[in-house]
Amino acid sequence: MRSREKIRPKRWIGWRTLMGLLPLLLFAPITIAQQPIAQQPGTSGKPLNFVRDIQPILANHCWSCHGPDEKTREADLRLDLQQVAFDTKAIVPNKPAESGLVARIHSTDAEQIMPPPATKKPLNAEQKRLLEQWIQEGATYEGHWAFQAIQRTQRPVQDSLRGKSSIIDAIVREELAKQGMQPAPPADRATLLRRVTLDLTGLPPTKQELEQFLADTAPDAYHRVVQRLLNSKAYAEKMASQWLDLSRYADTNGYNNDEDRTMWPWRDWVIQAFDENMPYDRFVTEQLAGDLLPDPTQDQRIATAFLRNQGHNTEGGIIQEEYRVEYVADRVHTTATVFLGLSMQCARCHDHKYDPISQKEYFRFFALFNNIDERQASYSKFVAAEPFIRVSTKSQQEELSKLDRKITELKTASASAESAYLETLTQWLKTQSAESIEQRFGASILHTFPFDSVQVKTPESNSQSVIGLDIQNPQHPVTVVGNLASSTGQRQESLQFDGATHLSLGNIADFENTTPFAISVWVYLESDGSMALVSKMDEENAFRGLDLLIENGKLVSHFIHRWPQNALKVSTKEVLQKSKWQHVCLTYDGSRKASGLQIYIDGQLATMERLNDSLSDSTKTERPFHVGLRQKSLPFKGKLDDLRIVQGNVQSIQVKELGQAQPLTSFVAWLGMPSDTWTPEQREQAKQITLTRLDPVYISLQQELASKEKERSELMDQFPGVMIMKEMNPRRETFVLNRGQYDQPTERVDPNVPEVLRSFSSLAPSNRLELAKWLVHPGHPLTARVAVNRFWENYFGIGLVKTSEDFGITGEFPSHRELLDFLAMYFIDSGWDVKELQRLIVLSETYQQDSRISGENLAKDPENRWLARGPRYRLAAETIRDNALAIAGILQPRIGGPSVKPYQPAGLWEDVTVERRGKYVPDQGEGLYRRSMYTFWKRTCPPPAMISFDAPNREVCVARRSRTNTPLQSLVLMNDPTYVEAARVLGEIMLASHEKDDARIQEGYLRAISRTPRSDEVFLLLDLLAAARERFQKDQTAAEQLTQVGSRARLPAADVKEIAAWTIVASTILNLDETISKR
Amino acid sequence: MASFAQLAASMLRRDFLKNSMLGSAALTALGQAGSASSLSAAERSPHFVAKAKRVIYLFQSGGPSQLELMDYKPKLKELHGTELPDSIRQGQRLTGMTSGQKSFPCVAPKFKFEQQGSNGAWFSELLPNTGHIADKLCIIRSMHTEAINHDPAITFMQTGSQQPGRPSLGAWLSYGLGSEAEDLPAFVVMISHGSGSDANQGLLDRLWGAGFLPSSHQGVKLRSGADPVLYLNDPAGIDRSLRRQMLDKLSQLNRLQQAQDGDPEIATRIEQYEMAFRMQTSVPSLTDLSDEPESTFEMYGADARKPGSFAANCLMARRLVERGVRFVQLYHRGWDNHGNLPSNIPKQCKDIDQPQSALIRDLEQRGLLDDTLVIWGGEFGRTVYSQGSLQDDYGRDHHGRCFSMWLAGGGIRAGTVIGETDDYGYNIVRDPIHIHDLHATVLNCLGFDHERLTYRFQGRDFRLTDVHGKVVQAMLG
Repeated sequence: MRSREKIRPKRWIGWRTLMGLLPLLLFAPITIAQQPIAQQPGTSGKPLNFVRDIQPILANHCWSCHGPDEKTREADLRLDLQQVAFDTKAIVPNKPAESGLVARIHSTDAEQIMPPPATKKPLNAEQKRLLEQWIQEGATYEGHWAFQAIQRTQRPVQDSLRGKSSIIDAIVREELAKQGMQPAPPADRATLLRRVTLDLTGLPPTKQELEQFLADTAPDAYHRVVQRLLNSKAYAEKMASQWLDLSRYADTNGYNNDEDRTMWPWRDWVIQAFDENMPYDRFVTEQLAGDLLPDPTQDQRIATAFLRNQGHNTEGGIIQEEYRVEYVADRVHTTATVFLGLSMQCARCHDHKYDPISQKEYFRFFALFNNIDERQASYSKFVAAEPFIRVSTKSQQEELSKLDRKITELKTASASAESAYLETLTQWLKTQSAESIEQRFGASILHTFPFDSVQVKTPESNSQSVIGLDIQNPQHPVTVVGNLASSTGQRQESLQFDGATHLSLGNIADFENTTPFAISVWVYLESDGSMALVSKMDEENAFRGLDLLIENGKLVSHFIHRWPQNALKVSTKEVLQKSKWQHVCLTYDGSRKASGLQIYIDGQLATMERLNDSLSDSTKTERPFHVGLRQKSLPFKGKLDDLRIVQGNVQSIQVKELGQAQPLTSFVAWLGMPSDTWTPEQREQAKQITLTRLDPVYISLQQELASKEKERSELMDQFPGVMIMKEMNPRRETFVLNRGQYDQPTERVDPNVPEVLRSFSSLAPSNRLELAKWLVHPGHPLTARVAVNRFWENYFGIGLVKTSEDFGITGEFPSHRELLDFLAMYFIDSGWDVKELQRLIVLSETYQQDSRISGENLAKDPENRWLARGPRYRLAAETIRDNALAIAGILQPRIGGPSVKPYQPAGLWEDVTVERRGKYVPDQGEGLYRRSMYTFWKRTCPPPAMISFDAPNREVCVARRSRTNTPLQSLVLMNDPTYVEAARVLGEIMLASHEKDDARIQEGYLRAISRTPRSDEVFLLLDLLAAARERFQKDQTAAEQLTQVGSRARLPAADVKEIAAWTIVASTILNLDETISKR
Repeated sequence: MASFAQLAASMLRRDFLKNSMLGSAALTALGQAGSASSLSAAERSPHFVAKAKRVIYLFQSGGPSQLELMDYKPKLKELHGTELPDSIRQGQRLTGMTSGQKSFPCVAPKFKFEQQGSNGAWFSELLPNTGHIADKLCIIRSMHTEAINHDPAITFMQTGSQQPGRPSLGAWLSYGLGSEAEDLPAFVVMISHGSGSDANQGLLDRLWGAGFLPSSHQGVKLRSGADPVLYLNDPAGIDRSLRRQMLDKLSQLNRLQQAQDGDPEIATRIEQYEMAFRMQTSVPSLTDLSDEPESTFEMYGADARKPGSFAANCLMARRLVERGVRFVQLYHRGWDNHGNLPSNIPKQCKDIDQPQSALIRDLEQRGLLDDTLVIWGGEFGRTVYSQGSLQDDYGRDHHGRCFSMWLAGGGIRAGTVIGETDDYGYNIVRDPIHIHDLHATVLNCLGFDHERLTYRFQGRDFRLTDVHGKVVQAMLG
């Protein structure tokens, strides 16, 4: 950047001759083509208009250094402010010769010429001439048109039937007359019906609709068609479909991981809003601030998903704050573009170069969207980042509240059973003998292996027999395999296992699985991986037997008859710590249920996961009981101490005793004592025993409760999570960020909107709801203009302001400013009635004109900006596909709901997804044939056929699509199974409809383009039909293959060769330029 | 007057498109005809004489480690296992994956290095063949980026911005240069999966997207398999002659309609169908390698016969540029070595080493290297310190402060090494080159002033280099 000091000495020098400029003018036409001014409809013959003709030149070529941005301002000169420009004599009104600006733009001195060559933005001769002319005429400055109040037209209604639509025509015709052009005659009625049906519904008229309209000669026939279309659901879908680009709607999060999301309930909300003709002011308010309305409904909260539709990055290493700031910036960008038609992005890093928005104002606006506690989500298959709500349908909601009521009931009943436990227990004890209590609750230790002072001689072989290890059975021999070593233990010594050593205790603990028992052991873990603590298992016989293992640190136990069909498997959620003695105890109640298996770590019952629960047969095996190995696998590394095997029901308070080498206290003893003598632990134990073992009422209540809670969570999992807006309290402070960087906060700012847009009211929005109120204030100069311009663009292909995303200073001046203001004012006056505005436009004669292009008009006005004819251009991606499906009669009419997956070439997702995990599985049936607005939208790999026809990838807000014409589009229409199948079905319809071929062709034309074919067209298609017939007569297999494309079955009655031939004809019709165009 | 100027401009442009060389190229480029854009073809044509006419970009996705490949740091042998000093780390931000680490032990690469070529550039033993073409390369050891995670970093490298929304490099060049090919897209994308590991980062449509440029400038994927370009093949049952007959009738019907409606876009559409038909012929002949002599496969390696491999894609890249494609973008995935780097990186290198050196030699033998710019590199480098504790099969985290790339061919000074890093391979000590500088230089090779190749969107003239970038003269031949 150049310093001011360097520039200051330069003076504004006097006027220089224009000599030598003449040759330059000859080259003007080519270079001028890049200037917005030259793309506008002719500016000839009119006096200069500052905003239209001069401001863009100043903004693009001068204001970077002599404009609003203080930091880059040179020589203290501002050319955006009249006062400064005049005071410095850069501009002397009416005196170009004395104006410094004129001298400098004509200078041939590289040091003097403006703009400086280094900026690489030279002025061309026409621009220089315009600047001079403007100064000559007085150098009048005007405020930017789009920031001025909307002007109300005084024009009267011309025609009572069309009402205010006739004002559109009056304005358009006045401009046409100025250009020396004539309006076109009305389009023929069939063409008009197709045009308006495609425009209002995104679908073609049916043959019946065409016949009815052609037969209806009443003067208001067209009016009634428009009304019918506006009332259709398809209208709401069409309007909503256009809203998806603006709101960057997608079904995935975008960015590196690009997981699925479920924002489609918001899409349903949009459809619903258009269907019920929600006024646009409410439409705006609910999407920006539905959550801040008094007592917001679920729908109003869903509406705010508009502000959460941006991407969400879950990449492992990202810095959360960096992305949080990006999301807020995205909201600013989207809101400004969609509602204000302004790009505020530039002002994030520095004061805006053209538009009067400072960096500080940017961050004030930013503050409005910054007060949300948006949490980083971690990578998983489906991600909704906080804050979000689970959204349910009405019937799901009913089901949920039914479940909730039931759960509350069950809990109340359980609580009363709980409080009556002592009574229940006393009643039970009265009916029991001491023996029966002992049998039910008693437990006795069968084996104790303290692993102290184990004498193992230096092994002569790898295996040897040792006695004296079991305290209860000192003579019982134990086989030691490998090198047994002693180590310090939990108590005295322990056994050290090196991964190649185990003990075989023989056929002990040979219980049937109806017998309750427990195994207790102290464990000192020294390594990761899977290892067996103890087992008695026959691995070769479908793993019959039981084990207690460590898997990834968790304790796991199997009881198996035949794995996995007939077995139990449980696991703790907790992991065992390494390098620490911990007591592990497995208890089993003989129930053959996974719920009967409990694992305790250091006396605490672990959280049990039941992974297999299908045991119904014996687990007995003659394999020996192993310590430190399963049968052959999973050797243990680490230390074990004090192994005990207990028969009977070990209760939780006894587990600790087992870990402490105490004999087990007898239940029978204390259960028989008066309850007031029980210790608190015993009291708790008695309660547990009663409730879980003795009280059938409580047990069944608990079972039911568990099943209802499971049902509830399964139901909740089906509800899509929709990310919404939710304010934080207290408010997050917002700072100006130096160069827009998340980690460089400077000055703290309060929320507000840019000053330049605040003159119409005293509103100073400090939250989103106030922002919405400000936006829809009837005096707002932009909201209505931007909206009606976009609607206009929808009908004519180009907005009255061509740059429909940019109403700022460098945006294009409206072709018909009065018309834009009339529409905007009408929209506001109607109470922001969206359907009414559509009606107003399509009832105009301007809209209903013939769209044929004469050579003269093409030369004069190639883009049809002056509207001397009706619109003619290629349809949008979604409409092209929907149209083909509708023509073939296979479009499925279901409205809303989750996205669907129609045909897509295989492997596209795998090519780009993380670890190639993503896989596109096309739907079957209905999902293949629904409107394209429901197609699943993956941001990193969007539907390819949509992209070919200019759909954006939906990563950022897009207000205007490009409209290209490419060979890839031809390939899609010729070969995408969607179109091949549609062609075949249309072919079948044509074939079945009539006996004669020319009538069949006519049928196809009527369905596809709502007109009868001309004779030369029929002739060409008959020719093609003959060639196709010949081909398929020769090759029936080819006919079979062609007609098998797609999942719809072929028409059974017809000859396959005929269907194939008609498929070729139908495909040709679907490929016609006319079919994919509105005309 | 202005109206006359406008009319003249539009007529001139049409004539220009129809008559000039550039025009005929532009007309047949994918979708350039007919659609409006903010610069006329004349403005977009190169600003000065281009050294390169086309680009092959061998993108190594995931962030290849400079320390194991081309940035030889002998002192690391001594520093192995020692803590990265604060004086080197300079408190700069780390990814969320290692920012919580208490210790940052330096890791010396496990691989040997040797000097190659006449200027003695150091190459890892993992890249022997690439070392042999050292004299044809301009090696940069001082690339740097602000991004530290895949998505922003790869988006930065491919679009000049860390955040979504901008056109990709290839789209800019398609917009600037139009197409040379009559029957192939201007911008082709191919993806291969590395043998090292399944990539734990994704690729993104935006990397070859058109951003706010007309969508016809987006990259077209060329895939291995039966349908190399999406929807290329006629459905089973339609043979070439029937397709031809159908297209003849279609074009006659469209022509009749044009006579009715007078819309010149219909003529463009007819032309697009013809180009589609030509693509249906040309793409199969492009992907059919049976016309390649045995020596080709000896040069590129046996993998070149494996469709979808990096080797096959390199060979395909040569075949594409021979046929006039402007920008061939390869992505080779699998360089994200957070762990098990010594086990995985040799496999990745084996994937690329022979084919990429073969590509350079092949282009040279065919006289194409002089006007084809070849770019090699990833989105960032990797840290000198170990991710997690120091292990035998260590890993390295993302590192944007320095990384290595190489370029070769049109406009590039061969046999040079630019830039130097410190003994840790952590900071640049000489001649830093930012991504914007690289982009400015690449555009320069193709004849564009990076400050003048612009597109007007939302009131602003956007450039690939935003408001940054300077041409690196040292890279230019």
